Amino acid sequence: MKNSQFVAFIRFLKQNKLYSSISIIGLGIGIASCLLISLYINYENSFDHYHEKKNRIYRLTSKLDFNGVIDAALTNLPTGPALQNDYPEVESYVRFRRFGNEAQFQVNQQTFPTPNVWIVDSTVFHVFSYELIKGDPKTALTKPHTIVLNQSTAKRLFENGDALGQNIQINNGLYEITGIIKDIPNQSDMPVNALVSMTSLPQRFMVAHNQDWFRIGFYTFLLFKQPVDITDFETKLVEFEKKYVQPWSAENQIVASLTYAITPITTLHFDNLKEYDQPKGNKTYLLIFSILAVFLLLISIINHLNLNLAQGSKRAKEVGVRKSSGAQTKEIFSQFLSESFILSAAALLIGVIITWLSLPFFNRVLQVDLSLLNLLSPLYLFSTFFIFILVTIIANSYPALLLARLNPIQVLKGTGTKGLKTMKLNHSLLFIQFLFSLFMITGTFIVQKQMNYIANYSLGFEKDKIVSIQIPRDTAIRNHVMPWLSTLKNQENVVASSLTRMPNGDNTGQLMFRVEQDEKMLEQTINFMFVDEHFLNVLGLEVIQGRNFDPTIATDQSQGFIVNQKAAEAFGWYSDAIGKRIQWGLLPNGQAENDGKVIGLVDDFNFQSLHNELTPLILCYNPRGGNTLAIRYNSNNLSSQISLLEDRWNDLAGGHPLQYEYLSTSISNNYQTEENMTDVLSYFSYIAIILALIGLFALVTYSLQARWKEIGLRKILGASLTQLAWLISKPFAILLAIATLISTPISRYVLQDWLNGFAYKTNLGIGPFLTSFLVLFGLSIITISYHVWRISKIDPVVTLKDE
Amino acid sequence: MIKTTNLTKVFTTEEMETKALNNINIQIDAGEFVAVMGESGCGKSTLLNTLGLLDTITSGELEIAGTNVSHYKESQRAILRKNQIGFIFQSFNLIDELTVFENIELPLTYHKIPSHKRKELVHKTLEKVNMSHRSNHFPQQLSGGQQQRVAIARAIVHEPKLLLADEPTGNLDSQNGTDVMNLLTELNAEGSTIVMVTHSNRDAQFAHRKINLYDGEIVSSSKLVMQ
Ligand SMILES: Nc1ncnc2c1ncn2[C@@H]1O[C@H](COP(=O)(O)OP(=O)(O)O)[C@@H](O)[C@H]1O
Ligand SMILES: [Mg+2]
Repeated sequence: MKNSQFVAFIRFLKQNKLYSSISIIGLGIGIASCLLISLYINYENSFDHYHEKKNRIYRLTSKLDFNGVIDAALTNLPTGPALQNDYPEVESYVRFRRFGNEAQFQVNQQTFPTPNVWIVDSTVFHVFSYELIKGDPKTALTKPHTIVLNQSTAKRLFENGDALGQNIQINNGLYEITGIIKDIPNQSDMPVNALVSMTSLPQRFMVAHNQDWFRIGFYTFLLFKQPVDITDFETKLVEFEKKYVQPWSAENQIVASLTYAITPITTLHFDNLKEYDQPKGNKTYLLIFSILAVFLLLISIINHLNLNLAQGSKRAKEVGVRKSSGAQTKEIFSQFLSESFILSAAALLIGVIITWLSLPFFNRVLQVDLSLLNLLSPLYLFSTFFIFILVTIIANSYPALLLARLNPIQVLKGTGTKGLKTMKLNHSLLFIQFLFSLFMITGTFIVQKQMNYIANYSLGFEKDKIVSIQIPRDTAIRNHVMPWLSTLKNQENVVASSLTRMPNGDNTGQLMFRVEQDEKMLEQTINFMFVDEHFLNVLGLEVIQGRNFDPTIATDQSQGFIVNQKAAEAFGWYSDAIGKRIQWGLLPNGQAENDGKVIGLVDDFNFQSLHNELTPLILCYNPRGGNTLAIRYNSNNLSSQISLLEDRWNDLAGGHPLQYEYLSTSISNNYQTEENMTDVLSYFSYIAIILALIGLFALVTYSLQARWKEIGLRKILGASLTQLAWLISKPFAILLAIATLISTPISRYVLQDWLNGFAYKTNLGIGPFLTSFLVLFGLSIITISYHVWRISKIDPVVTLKDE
Repeated sequence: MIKTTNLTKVFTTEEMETKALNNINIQIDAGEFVAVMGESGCGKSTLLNTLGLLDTITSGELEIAGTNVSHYKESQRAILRKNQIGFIFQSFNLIDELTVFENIELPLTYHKIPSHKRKELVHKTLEKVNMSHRSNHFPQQLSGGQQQRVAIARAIVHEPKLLLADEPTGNLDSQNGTDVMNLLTELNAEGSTIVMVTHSNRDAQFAHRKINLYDGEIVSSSKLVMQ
């Protein structure tokens, strides 16, 4: 690029600040969206990729068909070792079992509740890339009662972080710290704070599990010597099952089967179909994001192109002068291409800055930790550079070529932009932008509508005034706090309290029951909960037939059941549920460990998340209660109640912090993924709108340039400003109307499909579609009004003299 | 310097064909100053543009400086333009974003001339058109006459042999117009061949020869008495 060209260009940009900045920032926004999304996709795609042996690690899972199928992410205890023994290609295995929901670590009389503690085989360091910074990977977890902490837990427990060789007390057992690992990356579906040796499990536990092929309770990972063909190995697993499991079930007279499967650890993050799995990523959302990224980038390139074209006509004269001074077409072409290269570079820079500025926000919304440093990977630099080149070439070679090809005679005649009339801007580009923006806006509206619907849906119980407190398992603390906790229900602001886990969507289990139907006992897997006699009071549920559990009636404990209405319907108990027979803990020959009758029928309530239909539920009586105390207050001001509780707790619990949870919070956690989606969708729909408006702005600018003289003439002939405003707005209004007509049925279809993932869904209605149109229409009018303002300033005489 | 043989230019648009130039035969010698006259639409600008290789010819032959350029490609024509020809327009056509100095320097940037040499040439030319004091101004800051002087400076800075001027005084008042005509006469005296389109008989008096066009054809070509 020659110096004079550069200088002219920079001055041109300065004189056209509005257009230049819109053009650069618009493209920058597109690039930033694309960068952000690809960072996120890259993040999601590299879950568990930090394991050096990732290509050889597979997770073993089992599908249990035992009067109803459970496809679980878990396996039993004996399979791992047996596979290693029988199949030479299996180099090693490691099994993980959760150490309760939260382990209570005690150091120097202080309690540290710690989630994500796992009981694992000592081979864990061989299979997984957990980096031991202290301790010996070969021996660290071989001995009973040994534990390995991650760095941040070590720091949390011991002031100087110097934990090796120290002891931790967990539930009456003393564990020696034999290693410290580096905190494992966030991109891991199994977060780890501490690892406890498998040999710490009691002998009788191991024996019981080792003898039972249907007792699934372990995540099992296999390390192969080489990457294996999945179907090949799964065929071998069928034989394995025939050899070990079938003889065993025959011997124990169990009619059931077990099917094994393996999944590469690298794709585990998107394997969402199994029960008892860790929370995972969602491929559909990633796909939506990728489409978003491509569209946003494309749209911003289109805008950039349109603005360049619109601006190009202003420079026609320059082209004429340069050509008559002897510049060749290719020189002009390369001049404009270099200019756009500079523009793209500026846009790229701005894109990176926008990305950098919005990352913390994005991270918070999506609960991830993306970093611009990821951009430094070769793949990234390459793809960014590739996008950059592509943008420059696509978005700019066309206007550059048009400009370079201008006929100098025509442009120098003084008719100015006449030669650029050939630069017909394509209205269909704007049309696509409108379409896309409408999709985004309606999508956001509907998703929000559904989230509101869920938030306000009546679950059949009052979730808002209930708090659940964790009661420590530690008997000493328990003995201190329990007497006080049992008096809480007498406080005047407390309605009821129950030693039961509340239905937060996660707290029910499934069990095999035998239920009386048509005078026969039929086996069936049914949801159940263990509750005490206060459970119904806390939730405010009504018994509509029969009675509640009664601590004074001894038989209630194993022979009394309360069922919900759905169960009564499903089992065909019309008006006479009371007295129907139910068994669980099934034994052969129609026997069962628990055999009793329905004593009460309770109103339906949603004990699972609203993704699921209401299903039958059986409440079993547990008068002793569990480790959770649920308190129902009569006021909405829960936080002040909590701080009162906390004060008293700290006096009694001797260093053990009060752990509590609002029921409404833990229920809304079920919709976290959707909430995140809503946020991200709305931000990107803002971006789509902005980009569409930029596109509109460019197009109006351009069309006005071609009609400047016409408008001058119309003014002379007496056209009012309103008439002129309508003159320039009409084509775009029509375009938007058509876009609305086309986008509506398509987005209805897509959104209905999404809604169908919920058992409880809002209806689409017409409102969101109408609102989307109006929003875009209103914003378009605002955008065009700038040009109307320009028109109002036209001095018609000057426009006409130009010719 | 210029020789045309049956030079013909036809514009073909969707609606019609316009024969803008019809069998033009002219010869212009080196060092001549020729005025082209005629009513509006008779083909004056078209003639100038074809002579200046801005436009192609439909048929006939065109020789410039002894070379037949009738079938030159665009890139060859661009090279010839940049080396041999300077253009002056009625509407000046200065680039608004460039200063006076930079506007004049423009043609030189398409030659391989080192920057200090370019500076020298531009300053020399600025002096010639008497605009040195305005070298850092932008076109909008100048009067019409001054703008046209800058445009002339730009046309001559690379010392072309042929100057083509299309109504150079058309947008100027008579005082400024006379200044410009004097400047052109000076340049002609220094050796430039000039072809100038004009409506003004007064301006035409500055030329050696007057060619009259009517409807694309030459109707008369008369020697004028030197002033
Ligand atoms: N690019 C063009 N396309 C079609 N016709 C043209 C074009 N340029 C000039 N003409 C026509 O050629 C004729 C001569 O034009 P021109 O040389 O501009 O006349 P003058 O300069 O003498 O006024 C006119 O009839 C004009 O309409
Ligand atoms: Mg003319």
